[in-house]
Amino acid sequence: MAGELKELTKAELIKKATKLKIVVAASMSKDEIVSTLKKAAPKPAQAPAKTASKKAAASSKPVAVKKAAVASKPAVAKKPVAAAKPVAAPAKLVSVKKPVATAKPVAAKKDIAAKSAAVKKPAAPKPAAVPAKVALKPATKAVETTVAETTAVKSPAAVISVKSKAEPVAAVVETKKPKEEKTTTRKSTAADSKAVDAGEQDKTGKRLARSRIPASPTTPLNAGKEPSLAPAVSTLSLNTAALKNGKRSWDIKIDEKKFFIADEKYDYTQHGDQPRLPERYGDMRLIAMARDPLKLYIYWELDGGGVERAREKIGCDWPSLRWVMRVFDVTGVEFNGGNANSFFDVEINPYLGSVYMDVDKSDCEYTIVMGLRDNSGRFEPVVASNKVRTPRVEPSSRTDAEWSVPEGLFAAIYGISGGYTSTAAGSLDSSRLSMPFEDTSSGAVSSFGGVSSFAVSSFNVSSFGSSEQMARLKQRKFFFWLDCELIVYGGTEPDATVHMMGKKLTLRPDGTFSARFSLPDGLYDIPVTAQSSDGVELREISPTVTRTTRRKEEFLISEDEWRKK
Amino acid sequence: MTKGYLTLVLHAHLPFVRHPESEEFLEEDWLFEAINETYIPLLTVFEGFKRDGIPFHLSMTLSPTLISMLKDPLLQERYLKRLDKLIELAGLEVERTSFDPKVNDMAKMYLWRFTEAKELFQNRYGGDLVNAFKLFQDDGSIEIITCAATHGYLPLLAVNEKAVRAQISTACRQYEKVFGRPARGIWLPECGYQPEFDNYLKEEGLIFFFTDAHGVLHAEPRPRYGVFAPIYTKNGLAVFGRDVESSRQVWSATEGYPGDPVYRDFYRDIGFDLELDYIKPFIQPNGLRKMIGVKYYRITSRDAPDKEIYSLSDALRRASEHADDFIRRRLDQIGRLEGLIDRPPLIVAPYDAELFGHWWFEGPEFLNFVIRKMSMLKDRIETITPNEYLKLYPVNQVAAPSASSWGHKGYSEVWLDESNDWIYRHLHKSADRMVNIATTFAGAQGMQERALNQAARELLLAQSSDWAFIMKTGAMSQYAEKRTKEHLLRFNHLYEQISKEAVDETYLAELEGKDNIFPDIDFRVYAEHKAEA
Repeated sequence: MAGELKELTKAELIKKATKLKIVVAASMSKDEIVSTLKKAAPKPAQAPAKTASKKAAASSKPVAVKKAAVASKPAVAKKPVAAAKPVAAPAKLVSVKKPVATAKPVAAKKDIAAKSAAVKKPAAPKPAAVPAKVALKPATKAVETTVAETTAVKSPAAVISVKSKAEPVAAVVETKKPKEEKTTTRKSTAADSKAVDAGEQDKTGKRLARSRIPASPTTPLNAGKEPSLAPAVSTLSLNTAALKNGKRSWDIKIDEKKFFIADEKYDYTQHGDQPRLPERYGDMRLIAMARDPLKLYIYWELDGGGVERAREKIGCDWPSLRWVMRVFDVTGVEFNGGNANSFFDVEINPYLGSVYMDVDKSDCEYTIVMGLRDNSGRFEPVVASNKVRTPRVEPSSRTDAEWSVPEGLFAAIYGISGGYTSTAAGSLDSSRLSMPFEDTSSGAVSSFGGVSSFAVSSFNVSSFGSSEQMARLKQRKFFFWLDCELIVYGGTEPDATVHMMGKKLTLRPDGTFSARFSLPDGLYDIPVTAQSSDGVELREISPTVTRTTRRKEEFLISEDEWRKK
Repeated sequence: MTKGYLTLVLHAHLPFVRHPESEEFLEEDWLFEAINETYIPLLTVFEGFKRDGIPFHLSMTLSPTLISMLKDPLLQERYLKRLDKLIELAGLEVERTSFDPKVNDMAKMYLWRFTEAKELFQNRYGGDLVNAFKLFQDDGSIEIITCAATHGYLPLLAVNEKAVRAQISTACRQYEKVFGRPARGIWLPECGYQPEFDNYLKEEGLIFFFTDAHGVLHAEPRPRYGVFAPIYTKNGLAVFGRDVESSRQVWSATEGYPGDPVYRDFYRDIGFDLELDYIKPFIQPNGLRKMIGVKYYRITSRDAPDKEIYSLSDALRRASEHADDFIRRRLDQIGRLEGLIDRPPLIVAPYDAELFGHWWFEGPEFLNFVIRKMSMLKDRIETITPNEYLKLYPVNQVAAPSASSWGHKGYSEVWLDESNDWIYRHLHKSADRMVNIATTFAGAQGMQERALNQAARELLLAQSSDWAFIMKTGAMSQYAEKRTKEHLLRFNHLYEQISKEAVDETYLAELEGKDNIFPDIDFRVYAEHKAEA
């Protein structure tokens, strides 16, 4: 296979890659493209359903999205578009995130593979002095150096965790500061298992409740199997493994009980069509919000002539231009385009409409500028964002003279505030005090991922004995329940008096009556009498009812067959 | 002189759900369930304290949307209808379970509860539960604090300053009207705080608010007392940080009290359990099942498929034990802090009110036990409200709290992820538009003014953080999406009509009839003030 690939010209390789929906960039060398193609999975990409069924998401490994930019697996798409979101495919830029299948114009237009090129801190701590007039264009020289670094493909890259599956914009990260990456990864996982937890716990709990639903045709039993337009509990619940490990977001789960009333999906379209929001507002704007101390959420619209003007200004044609987000650290400065503390670039696919972006500093102010960058590294801004500040992640290092508190004392109080046990608190070193959100076992409390340990139900079936088998079998979800009720009914003269077990019954106008009883195991004597209205006659009919229940649990396959499963 | 203080905060909030267009609407059950299982039981517990002369001091949030619903005649009427149905059902249940004494006891309990609830709601409180709580504030037991108008998650709305300000000022306006005095304290939705909010809160005359523990612990400079005393912002507002330990004991699904096997199981509701023909009149009109509020089983154990029948006496005994445990641990905390801080520590314990009673059936009784037992330990621990604490300790450290929330992981993740991030571009844009028309037509009158006010209502309703939360957690997410979109679309229609000065009266009246929150709203809270000429 490799041999064949090497025969092709670079252009043909790119074409092949595009057809296979594999991410390559025109700026990559031919060898790089060949190796990328080799690594990629040979599966043709499936077009994700437009009206998203979230089932695809079930098997998603969101981590994969970030790291393996190579193979584009639409199945990994995490966010299906909600039903009403219009999924148009106009030729020009739109501000809605789109899955690959519909964003055809992108492929046609230019092959923007977002390889993140972090220009984090080139030799000088600040970008070379920028002439005040022309905003955001660092001196070409400095940039050239850094561009040279980045084309080596091994330089540190900022990680963008891009949600949409569109053009795989996921950063190829080889050598990014491992901490960051891990954090990102873990957060993602945690988020997923948390989301899963929320769903699954419901399902587990609900299962028990739902197990009571009789198999009546009027009751859709298969909440899990309904195709649904909304983020379904069903797909969230498929990741049982994550759930079983016991990490839960307990506060979400309890909060959400407030809203749990029924588990069948309610068809709201009967109350009118699902409304549709505008696809775009015709603005040129870029907005950033801090999702947590190290992650921003950024969305944009690029309408109006500003894009074309920027392109003209930079003077290149589209094929040699890249869309880039330049993230400026502007802590403590009145940003004028050139006085940022530092910045880094991330290539971006403008069609996405929004991204989640990891940043490297908490308690830091950022301004983001989206613009065009050409091959020589010149940058022409198109639109700038608001200033956004990432929250603090650790205690302040400043102490107040009047309210001073020594290190150890603060650590002790911090520990008690965070719910650590007293012994742990004593040994806390305040330089290690930091935020819980990095600790994904923060299933206990939102503030501090703390001390509590969860019962991890692990079942390593190292040896097979019937108790092991039992344990594993018990983990299965197959359920079956049954109950009995008794209805006693009869009729007499409408004006007669009827007593059942000593209690007077109300007769219907036609003289009939009925009574309904739950029937646990046991023996029940049910004396029923009827007395004529003139008091002359008395009749009695007294059934005796017994209920006993036999139960059996059987496994229909042999241990060997089970072992194979 | 006591050794430590406990300030309990019960945060009662539900999103505004009112559907006059339907006879019965599933999501209105949120309110009815909360009334039955939380608000009335809490009031009953408070009445008990009053009757028995037990002093108690706690804070309660009544969110503006909740207040609107509790005071709404249509919803009050619907609640009564539902109560009647429940009473009927409970009666049938008492009959049906004649052969099963344990279950029968429970059925009788429910019958009694529902009958009592009706008596209290209708006769004693005249259908107005807000007023019932207000009476406890008037006599000094409870401090009622406000919340943002529609519980918008402010950090994610803060891109537009006016959007945040309007949430706060509309809430304060309603508070003053309902309670007859300005609000002193505010519960920021989800404790979502960002440094610039300090100014907005100050402008409304508020005195204190709450953040999650790390909001205070990571304040700058370091807080001398951790979360065990409030800090002052530079504007002089007191900030109380949540104590994590007391939260965890109650909140945690794995370790917390509510998960005890003896307590009532939340899911085994007869709405799902019983035979369809029998239960049909009491579930959804279309035949789909739903929670009814009558549950017979105890949790038993997390994995047990067969749950045991609940026993009220066992559960109450356990609640009492848990109350003992809770107090003991608070005393222990106070003891541990004794050498470390030089004033009696304040433990701030906020909870969603609906935790008590709705999710944790025995919750109100737990509170009952806690307060009563604490009243006998005055020399060691006392309940107190934030305001009273500030009177005792008016001098506190000034520090800037850090951006934070009490949501999962401590920041904005819950309300900003793939399931719900799409809403923000629309919310921000609509807020910008609102500021636009409010400024342009600041002098509007008549129908134009009505339309502007209604546009403000629609915007506020779209901003409810509950929608994003529900979209993320998935329970009734279609409804949440629909609400978001509907309100945004209504806003957009009004926006266009207002801009053209061509308001459609019928449409306006229809919206005013449905989304009738905040009757006195003034859209001018969104207007920008031009420099005085």
